[in-house]
Amino acid sequence: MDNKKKIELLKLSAIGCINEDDQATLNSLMLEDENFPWNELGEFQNLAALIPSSLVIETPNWELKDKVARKLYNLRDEIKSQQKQKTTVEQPVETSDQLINESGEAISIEDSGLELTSADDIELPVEEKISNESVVEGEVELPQTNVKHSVDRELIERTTKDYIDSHFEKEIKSTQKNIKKSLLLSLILFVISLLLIVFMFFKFSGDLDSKQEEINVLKKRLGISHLQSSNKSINLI
Amino acid sequence: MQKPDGADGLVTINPLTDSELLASAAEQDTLAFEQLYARYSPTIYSLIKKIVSDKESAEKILVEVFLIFWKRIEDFNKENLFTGLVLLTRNKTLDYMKRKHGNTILPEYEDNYERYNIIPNLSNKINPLKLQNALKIKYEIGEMIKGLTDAQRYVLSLFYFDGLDENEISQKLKIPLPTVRSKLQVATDILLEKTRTLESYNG
Repeated sequence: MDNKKKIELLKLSAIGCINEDDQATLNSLMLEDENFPWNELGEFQNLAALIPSSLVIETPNWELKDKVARKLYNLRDEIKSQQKQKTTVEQPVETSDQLINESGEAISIEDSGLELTSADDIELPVEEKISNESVVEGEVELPQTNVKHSVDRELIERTTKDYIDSHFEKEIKSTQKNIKKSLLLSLILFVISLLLIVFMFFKFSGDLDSKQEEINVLKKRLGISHLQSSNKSINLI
Repeated sequence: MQKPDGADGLVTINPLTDSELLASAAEQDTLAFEQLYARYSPTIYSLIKKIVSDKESAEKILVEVFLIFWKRIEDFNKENLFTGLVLLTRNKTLDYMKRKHGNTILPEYEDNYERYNIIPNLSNKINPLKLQNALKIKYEIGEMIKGLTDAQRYVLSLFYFDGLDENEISQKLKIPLPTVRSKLQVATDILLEKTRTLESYNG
């Protein structure tokens, strides 16, 4: 295939609208062709990614972030539990054909004199038989279901805890910071207002004193003029 | 509540680079992943909205895109997260739409299908392209697309946002297949030539 044809296929692939046959051809070229135009493919892929950057940017709903976070925690826990299960399965289970006798010594099953029988062969007391039959006949809650429920609950609890830890811890910290700030601010305001009150008190008490003095002076003057006028009236009489 | 980084559609300055955040997120650091969400969600959401129009589906796809990203974080190119995420979004959205409308018979959506059809297979020689730089040349890219002829623009849009292949476009527009192909080839050549001249594109 000539280079021009390859580039044509690259463009279609980068834009993402290549048909199945062409994609298969391109895939085999990628694997086999030593002169595959990787640089051109990269350029077209970058161009394809740039096309939507011309769109008007819209912000997704803010609550979506929480939704993504919740799903993400679930997924993380799922992966972790799967990994755990894998490791448990991979660990070899130690089996032993030996039993421990009363004195603590290991003895083989053959030596113990016990005969291995299947579960069906074991004779059960009548009461146990009845209870087993009723369990079989009645509606039974399978133990597996219980396990699943408890695992689910554990998973939800863990997920919620993780979620709370990471999300609300931040909010709690910022709230505590805010409280500290507002406390400091109110303390400063209190001190300022206290200073203002003290200042006003001294200012007004000083003013009051000076006014009082003025009143006294005026009173004195008034007294003198009153005396003078009464003297005049006496003289007239 | 606190407004997220990049909620205004622009990238807020964060001291950590994409590759640093990606490395931490790959170590199951959910806070680093949240940073990446805050950084990329407006761009990704806008692309999804352009393709699907309805808000409910757009939100559903956005969540799914980020879950795929989280699940397959190690498959992403650390030096070019922008291209990887945008192409993943486009693939996932078009796949969602095709399955919803049921016009096309698609294979069952399972792990391998996702790996080979939804996760973009980026070239190993791709140049790094940052989200900040892409947003810087937003206007120029818009002008370049406007500069194409109506036919070229329409064909490009049918390819890119409607996910139609050459045959489907040929049938829809009632034009021969080679004409469809040549319109796309010319349009991409023009855009690539002009993009190469942009300073921010070249880093």
